Amino acid sequence: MKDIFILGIETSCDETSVSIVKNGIEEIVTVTLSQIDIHEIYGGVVPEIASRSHVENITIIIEECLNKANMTMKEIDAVAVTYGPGLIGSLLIGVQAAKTLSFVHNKPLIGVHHIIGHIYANAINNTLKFPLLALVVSGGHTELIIMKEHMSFARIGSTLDDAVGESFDKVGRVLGFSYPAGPQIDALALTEENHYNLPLPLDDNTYNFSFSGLKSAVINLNHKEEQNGNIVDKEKLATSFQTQVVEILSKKTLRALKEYQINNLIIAGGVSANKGLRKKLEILSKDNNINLQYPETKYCTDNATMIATAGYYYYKESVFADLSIDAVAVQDIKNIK
Amino acid sequence: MKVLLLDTSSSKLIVAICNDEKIIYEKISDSDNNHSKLTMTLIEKAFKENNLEPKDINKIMVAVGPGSYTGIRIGVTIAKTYAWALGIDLIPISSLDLMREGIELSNVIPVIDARRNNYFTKFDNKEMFIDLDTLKEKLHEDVTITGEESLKENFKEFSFCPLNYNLLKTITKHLNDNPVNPHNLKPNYLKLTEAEEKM
Repeated sequence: MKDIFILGIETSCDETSVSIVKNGIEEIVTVTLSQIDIHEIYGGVVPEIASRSHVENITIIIEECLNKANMTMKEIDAVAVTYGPGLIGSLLIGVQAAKTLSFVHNKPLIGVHHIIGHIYANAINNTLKFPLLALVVSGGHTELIIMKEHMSFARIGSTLDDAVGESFDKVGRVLGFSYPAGPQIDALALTEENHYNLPLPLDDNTYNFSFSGLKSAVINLNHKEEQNGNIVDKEKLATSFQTQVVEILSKKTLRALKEYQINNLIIAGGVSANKGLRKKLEILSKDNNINLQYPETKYCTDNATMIATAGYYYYKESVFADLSIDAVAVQDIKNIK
Repeated sequence: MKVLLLDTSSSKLIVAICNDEKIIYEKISDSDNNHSKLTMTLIEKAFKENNLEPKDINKIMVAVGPGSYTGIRIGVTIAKTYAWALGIDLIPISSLDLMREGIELSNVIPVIDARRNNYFTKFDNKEMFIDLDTLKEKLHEDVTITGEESLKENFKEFSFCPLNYNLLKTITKHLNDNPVNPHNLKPNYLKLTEAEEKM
């Protein structure tokens, strides 16, 4: 069988990333330009600055990727691009570049849903086993999704307010961490302890999540202690916060695995790099005979490798986009098959 | 010599193809700010109707602004990707020049609404971002303003000429401008982002 090479483009937030992936499993080259240094100054991603940076760098990154792979567009079978969800102005740059490349080189165009991309980060240098449960945790998403086979997605729960990564950043800001706060909180939370007796958020019988109450609890506690002239132990407070987040994520994930009788679990999205979450899920998986998989850390945050990998499965299903494809800021995951 | 011209800097979407000093395709549409969806579709349609392949184009001209930030990024991204991918000459043009060059009058001042009582304009050969009062102070009484109809209201004391693009004139005028390296092509925003200004 002929090898299939997909060129993937990802510009949904503050990373300009281009990748070539062979047969939906083997990364040939990925080039990613992170704007994190720029946005750090502002304490978070500034959408207009992100868009400006994407448009300045997009062709440079595509060229660098092809050069490093020692390939030309001739050898590429299709162009895959994240069309959403994400920052609309940022997404637009990748979408326009991908449409143009597809048109001028007469290659099929594939619009990849960003969450499907994150899920397929688990398929890079790896094989997915079905049925599986995917816990998607990132700055924009917190979802539990069941996959019976490739490109089949059934969402059983999601966040009702803040995404988990978003709550890490907001809590981090209050506790004086720089952006992004997740990895710093994770580094402090070496143990699982709820020193400050924070509530376990939305501990109900649904598979939905809610993090804004927990975030407010941290902010209020911090404020109250400061008003009373007490020094808040930021390390302990951060640890308490992460402990409760990890606890509720694992609790609902485990219950879903049992209810739906699934023993393959994958985690995806930026927060899947969180060591506390990985450790907890590893222990639970071992105890319950669950086969747990998570992406290499470099594939957890936004990257085009996962987009090109997911693009391969769209390609196999012959799900292509035409030149009228538009970027969308918000869109639920849907079945492709 | 075939030239593709793109302008996505305003609410109008402009796609034109010129072949040896003749316009063979011209579309100036009120795309309702749907440029992201429509620009490539329109280019594809224009090529089909004229039996053209992407590689048949010899030069790409693109309006780089000033104008709608999102709008100009769409045209600039398409133009630079196209030009880079096929090694085609890329010529940036000012969206203000594109407006002014279509009007056969002297002393024409192109004006674009930059929102919150601010405007993009060009006079004395200088592009600027300027507030309404300062702009009015600088303008002679005998100038003619050109721009979108909605501007009329705020420039009542001046004569007004509606937009009337002359794309052939613009293409001919800029045909021998120096091409730029596609990697270096940036929109001309004329303004920092709010976040940068507050810093």
